[in-house]
Amino acid sequence: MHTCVYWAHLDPEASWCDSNNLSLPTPLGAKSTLQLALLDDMFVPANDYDIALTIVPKCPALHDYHASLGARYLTRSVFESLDAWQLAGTPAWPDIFASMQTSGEEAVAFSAVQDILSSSIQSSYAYLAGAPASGEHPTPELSAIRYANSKSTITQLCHQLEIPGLGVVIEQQDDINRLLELDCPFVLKEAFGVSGKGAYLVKEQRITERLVRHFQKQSASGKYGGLVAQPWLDIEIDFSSQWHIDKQGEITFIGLCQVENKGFRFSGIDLCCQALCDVVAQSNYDTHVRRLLSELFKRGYFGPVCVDSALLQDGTVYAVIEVNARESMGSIALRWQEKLSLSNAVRLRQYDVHYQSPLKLEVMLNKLAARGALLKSGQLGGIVPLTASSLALSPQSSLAKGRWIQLECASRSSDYYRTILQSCLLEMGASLQ
Amino acid sequence: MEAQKENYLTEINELLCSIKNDPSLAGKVTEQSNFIEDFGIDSLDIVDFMLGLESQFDIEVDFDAFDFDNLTSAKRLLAYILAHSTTEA
Repeated sequence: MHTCVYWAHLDPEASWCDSNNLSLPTPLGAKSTLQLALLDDMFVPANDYDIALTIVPKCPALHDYHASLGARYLTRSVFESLDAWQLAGTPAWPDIFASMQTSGEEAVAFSAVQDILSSSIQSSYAYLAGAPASGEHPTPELSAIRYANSKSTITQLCHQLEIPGLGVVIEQQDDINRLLELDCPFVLKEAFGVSGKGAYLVKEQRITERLVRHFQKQSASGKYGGLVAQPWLDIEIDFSSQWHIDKQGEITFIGLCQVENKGFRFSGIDLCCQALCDVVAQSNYDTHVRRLLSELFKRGYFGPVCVDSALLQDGTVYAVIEVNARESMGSIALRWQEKLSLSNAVRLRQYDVHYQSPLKLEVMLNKLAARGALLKSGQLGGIVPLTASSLALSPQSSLAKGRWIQLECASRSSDYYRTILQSCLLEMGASLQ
Repeated sequence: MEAQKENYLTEINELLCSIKNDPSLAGKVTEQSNFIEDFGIDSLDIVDFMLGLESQFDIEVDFDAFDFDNLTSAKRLLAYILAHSTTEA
């Protein structure tokens, strides 16, 4: 019985990206929001004796509630409180790992965390280059991680492997002008963009011309590559499949889920999608994806992989839209489904929440329970809140934004649960965005 | 100058309503407004917002030099627009 330490950094792409790559027009200094660093509390360990290592202490009310449903695990945190984390300048995992590698007081402050990580098996949401190694459990080289996650290299690899794909890779300066030949609308993606940033829908030729001027300017200053242009597809259903490549190269299919997006924004996961699974099973999906993953292993990658895919309105299954060589919201939903021994009828929903003062989760749980919306042990339907920390910050401005993520054990519709959630939040001076 | 600032604020507000697809934001932008925190301009909106500013005010922004802090204060954004539209003219 080996204890496994679970930790999650939900913005790994920012660590993997190459600052020499071309990038969409984004102002200097735009940063990840604080809320991303605090969403690590939803990454759930598999076993009772495993440890969830979070940046700030896991909300006790949430931990106790999960335990009441049978989801037991141990918890540790890097900082002893949210205040301590804010006083330290709100470091995310890459900052903490960087401090560990110094020789000064900063490293001493994190020595206990370093001991936990280096003496245990680690299960992380994503590989980060600076994370302490856990001796017998090597991780892939950063170059392999970058290769597996870059949209431009994956697009090129799909072309090489004859996996159907329509993306155009912008690699050299001459390629930039190829954008002018594309019919609008099309989607421009940065190599390490993710849901919420790094993608842009180009709707007019006038905008294409402006972006080409921007990229030419970047190119003249030495930037290159890292962009992909994809046609705007008539998508019926977005979905993703979760896989694991072990250290010997064996590829295991973990699950498939329907993905709910609003534009480029992720909004949820549906694990109950048998009709979709049947359609996918009749295509060459499995063959295409396994061929791709096998190639990623040959190039040094092993670990979790999420493949984003789509079913088009004409019935075509488009196997590889993007690859995220890490855990994903789909795999998190699957982990919770297994941890709570839930049936297939499970959804995950994500909402942005505006709040004026820190939300007390125990109050929210009571309000949801009073309305009959909270899943309780022995009940078949209800919601299970998964996160709390991002809603507990003292707002810097008049209104702070956090994120509410919940599982829905689907006896009712998402709209029904959303309405109840909204009414509970309003009573607490908060609201869904 | 003050009248021009008022006009510019109104035009920025109209652009914001369009980007956020939210007519209720009309009249909400003041010199103290923070576009990120007060109106939820996020990383996906920023490109549209910036390109919209270019069209609206006939300027061309050097995105790799544009300071993100200009979006945290309408007053700063106005100053940027005024400085660059003058230069362009």
